[in-house]
Amino acid sequence: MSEGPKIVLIGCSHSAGEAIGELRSSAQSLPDHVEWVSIPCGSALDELHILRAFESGAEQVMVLACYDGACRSVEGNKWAEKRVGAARTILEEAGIAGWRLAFHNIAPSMPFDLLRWLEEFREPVPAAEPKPEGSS
Amino acid sequence: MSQRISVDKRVMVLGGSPEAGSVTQELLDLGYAVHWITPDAVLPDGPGDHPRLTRYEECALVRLDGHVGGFLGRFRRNGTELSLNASALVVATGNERYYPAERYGLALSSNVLIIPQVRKQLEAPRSTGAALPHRNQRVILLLDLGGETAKEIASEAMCLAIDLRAQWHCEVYVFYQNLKVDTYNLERLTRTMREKGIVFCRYADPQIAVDDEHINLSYIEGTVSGELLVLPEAVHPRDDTQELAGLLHVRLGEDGFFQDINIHEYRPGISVRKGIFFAGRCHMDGDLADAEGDAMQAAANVDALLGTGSLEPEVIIAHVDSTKCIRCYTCVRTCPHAAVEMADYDEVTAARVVDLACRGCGACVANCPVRAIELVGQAMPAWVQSA
Repeated sequence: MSEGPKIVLIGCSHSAGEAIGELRSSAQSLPDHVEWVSIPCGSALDELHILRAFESGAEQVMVLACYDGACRSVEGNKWAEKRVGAARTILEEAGIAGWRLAFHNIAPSMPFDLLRWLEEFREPVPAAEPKPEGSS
Repeated sequence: MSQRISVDKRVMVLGGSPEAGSVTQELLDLGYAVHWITPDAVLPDGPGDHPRLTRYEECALVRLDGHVGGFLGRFRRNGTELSLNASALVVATGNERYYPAERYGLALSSNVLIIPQVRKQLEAPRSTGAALPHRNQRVILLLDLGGETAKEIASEAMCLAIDLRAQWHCEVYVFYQNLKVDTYNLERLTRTMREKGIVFCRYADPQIAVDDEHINLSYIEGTVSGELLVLPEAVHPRDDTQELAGLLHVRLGEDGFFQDINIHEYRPGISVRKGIFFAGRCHMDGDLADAEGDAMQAAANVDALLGTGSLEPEVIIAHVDSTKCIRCYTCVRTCPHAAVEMADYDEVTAARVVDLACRGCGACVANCPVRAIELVGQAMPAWVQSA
């Protein structure tokens, strides 16, 4: 698989975990530079998990949780999203760009969306500056 | 860590709906002892006397303690308190019907009637000599006015249409907007209706004019005039639903019925609390046959939990370090499964996670301000622990 900077993928075992299982059953796997960390539910996510992932040398961290209303524990996905927001604030204070931390809602049937997100997970290209008028 | 705990095969069924009777019967057949409890005055037809069945009428829940495998329900009955034990609990309180006058914008009168009124006239004994008021008339049955008609009511409306046609030789027009016939019964009924010459019309933006003798219903395809307008009732949650949900520590869905969220992971009927199940029309829209099927499912869910006569904690569960706990109750409030409570340890009072009730989601772990709770059985990479 493609090489890249180390990405830590933290996700709910009921949605993301199932999606990764789905990936394996279609004879595919996560890229080698991606480390998968399973947590029982989005609500178990701690800001520390994210911060320590960066400390341990990850370039980017992606958090995955269920869609609204699909959480086994009612609001786990909302907890996770909130924690990601809090962690992003801390990271930016420490001088780590916010785009390095991503959050996605996922369902077990979305393994290929996950691969696409990982593929597209890179620094956003700044919007091209508008050309000054009159220049050709 | 994993130890099996043997539990009684005893279940409480709450509610006086027909589906509560079905759950009770099914559980008795599966070998369970059942307390069948209703706040209403009379229980519906259901299982008769049975050595493993106890029935309680006019008996309202005032407090529920304990967890799966050992619920303790306190009830009030004729001014006296009553305590009952059970390993699991099935809520089958049903729903309530009402006439949605505001939504319909129509007042009931001698030629604008709801289904039970027509049914009563239809079933009045011939021997009284009363005239058959609507014989041979043209009847408009107006479904889905201002919102979808509940399936159980729609099925009653269809049965009424068939009987009006057969017994009073009425000409029946059924107006509908979004009639769902996704159950065996409803589909069969619509087919029978068409065979008997009942006319179905799909409408939108109806204009209804009612005078003493005629009803004129105008819609996009024209105007239908008739002598009798029959309206369906609507259903809403029982008045005590909110209170009961509070006592059971479960959430209500957006429409005020039990549980319509979480249907993806917890199949309908399984609540966020282990050992509490819902059956029938207290949590779903369906006709009586649907409710009956749902009752069978609820009994099967109970049997899946208690069938072996023992319970085992899940692989991953939370555990409180009582020496670190500061008794802030954050975990008690946060736990979506109502599995955390305050308890006396040897020397201190601290939070305790009830092993059997814990679903291992970790919400308490991440929320604990002093990190006194950990997930037992959860493997994390080494870098999470060491900074």
